Amino acid sequence: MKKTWKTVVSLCWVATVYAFFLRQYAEKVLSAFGM
Amino acid sequence: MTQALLDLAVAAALVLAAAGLGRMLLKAMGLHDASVPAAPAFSLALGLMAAAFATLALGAAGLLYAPLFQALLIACLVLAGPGFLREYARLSPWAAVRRLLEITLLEKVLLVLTAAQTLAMLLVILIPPPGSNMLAWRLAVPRMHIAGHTLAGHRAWPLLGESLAIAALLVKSEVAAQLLSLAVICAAAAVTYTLARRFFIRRVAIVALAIFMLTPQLVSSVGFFAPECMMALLVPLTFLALACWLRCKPQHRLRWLILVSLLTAGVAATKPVGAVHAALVLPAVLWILVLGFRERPTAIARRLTAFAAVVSVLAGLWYVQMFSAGTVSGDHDAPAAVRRDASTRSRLCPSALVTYPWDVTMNGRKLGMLITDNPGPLPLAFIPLLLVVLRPVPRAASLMLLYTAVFAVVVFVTSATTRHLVPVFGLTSIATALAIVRMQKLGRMAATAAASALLVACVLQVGISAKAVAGDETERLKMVAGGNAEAHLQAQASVCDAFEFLNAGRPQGRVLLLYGSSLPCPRAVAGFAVIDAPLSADAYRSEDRLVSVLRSLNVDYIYVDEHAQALAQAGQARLDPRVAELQEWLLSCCRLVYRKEAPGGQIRIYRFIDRSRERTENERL
Repeated sequence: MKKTWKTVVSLCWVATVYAFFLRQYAEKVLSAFGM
Repeated sequence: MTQALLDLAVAAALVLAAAGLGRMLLKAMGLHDASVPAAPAFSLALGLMAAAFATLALGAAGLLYAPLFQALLIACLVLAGPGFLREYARLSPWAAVRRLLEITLLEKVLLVLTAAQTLAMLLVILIPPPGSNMLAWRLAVPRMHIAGHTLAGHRAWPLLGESLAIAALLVKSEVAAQLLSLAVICAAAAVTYTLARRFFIRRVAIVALAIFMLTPQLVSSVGFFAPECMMALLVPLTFLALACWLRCKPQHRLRWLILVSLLTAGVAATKPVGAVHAALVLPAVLWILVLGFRERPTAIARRLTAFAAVVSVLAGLWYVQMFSAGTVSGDHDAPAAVRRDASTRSRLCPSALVTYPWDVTMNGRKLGMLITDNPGPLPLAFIPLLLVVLRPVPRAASLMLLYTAVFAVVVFVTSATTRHLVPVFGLTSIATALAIVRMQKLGRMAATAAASALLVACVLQVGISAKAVAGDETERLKMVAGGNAEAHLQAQASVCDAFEFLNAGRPQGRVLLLYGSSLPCPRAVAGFAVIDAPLSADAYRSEDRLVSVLRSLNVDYIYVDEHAQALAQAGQARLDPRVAELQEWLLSCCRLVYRKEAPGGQIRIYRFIDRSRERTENERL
């Protein structure tokens, strides 16, 4: 159970960081192409 | 193309000469290759440091002449190069190939992506330097020293990295200087691998190597000939030297201590923030002496004195000069009154420190200006997991993270530039890699998710580099391929025209760069005293205060580069609106004397009219 909890927390955190980073990345790439 | 190949050959010769010289120094210290891990990296670091000190000494003697440096390079190549090559020619390439075949598919993919990234960095470097930072500071100040053949060419002495730039410029060109920077980064990657391998399994080391080399920030730093690249090599190298010192034979302890001292001095001499490194290594040395070796108090005092003596003699030289010349902040031509960044006060609040790792990674609006100005998502995604979920943290990783935390706090306080964090990227890569590999402990699903996140980040980061090469740099690449690099430099330097205008009309004057933080053109230095640091927050207290500060600085002209303005506004979202308002008010009171369309926006020059001075003069009349 403890391991499951740790897995869920870890995956949620990684997903959050990636979601924000990818948004920034997309914004910068699009703006670099003038979009 | 021929020029690029020639640059590559000269850079290879410089690296070989430096590594050979460093190997001779290692042998002279009694540290033979068999007992030294990552010996080529140690050799390269020591050789480059020796070259920088030699350049400084020759500069002090007024001997900065190209033929002398070319002769010295050839002498080093002949004397030290063959020995270095012989040492490594004995190694079997088949053994390396066999080892590569043994690694897993994921690790092979990571190594292929790392190779692609290295190629992207090479392409970025082969292009002549575009930015004002490169033209104005990294290469302009070394050029000033070279022009006078002595260190008197500029108030600031060249620091360790700039001394190397002087040597590379004298031997060949700025591209050779940047290639030297790439060699240093590759050596830093090798040291990161070796350091990780010393404490953890091979998978952690390979993942750490890939994460380090694929850091987006490295692409722009290598292209800048940034001193942080040298620090990125010397910082993990000091950790490796400390680890070797702790486990060496008792009769070799003094030798390793001297090596640790030399590397620490090298970091401190590369950039003023490197003094933090010396302050952090000192307790580590004390800890090893007291708890590791259980030395007697007299022996501890002797060893500490030796460490402090080496560091203070080698690095202290620069600090004494920097303090006496008033250039310790790096604001080389700025009077003391204008050194503090106007946004510093709002930047240094405690909540900003807490969110600093997030801001550095998600740099869209706050810190970074370029797409490459970030460390990538991996450290932020995995290091917190190592600290919270994947405990216990091994002692080696804890020390690396502690060092990173202290260094990051100092960078947070002293600078808003993410590039200044490059020296600790090797250490954070190891901690990140450890967390990714440890995700296996949480089960198959977590391990697969971690591996997928790693691959996605690496592919994205190669994409960022590819975009930097194929998008922004295509035109420049074409020019290099066509051998027309000089024309490209002229085209880039449109900002120089503005100063040509001023030079033609009025040979003397004082120019305030309202948004720029570096000189836009080396030639500007000839005719004008340029104030290139932002005005202090105090100057923006009121309209009267602003005018009185400009009056006290004897400002004649105000230079506005819209491109620099856009970058400043993108990078400093926390800038007080009052500052922007007062800047607009100031420009509305001044007379526009020059305007030109440039690629990034208009360049304008205003004549600063001091109304109160005019009024006083009228009253007197």
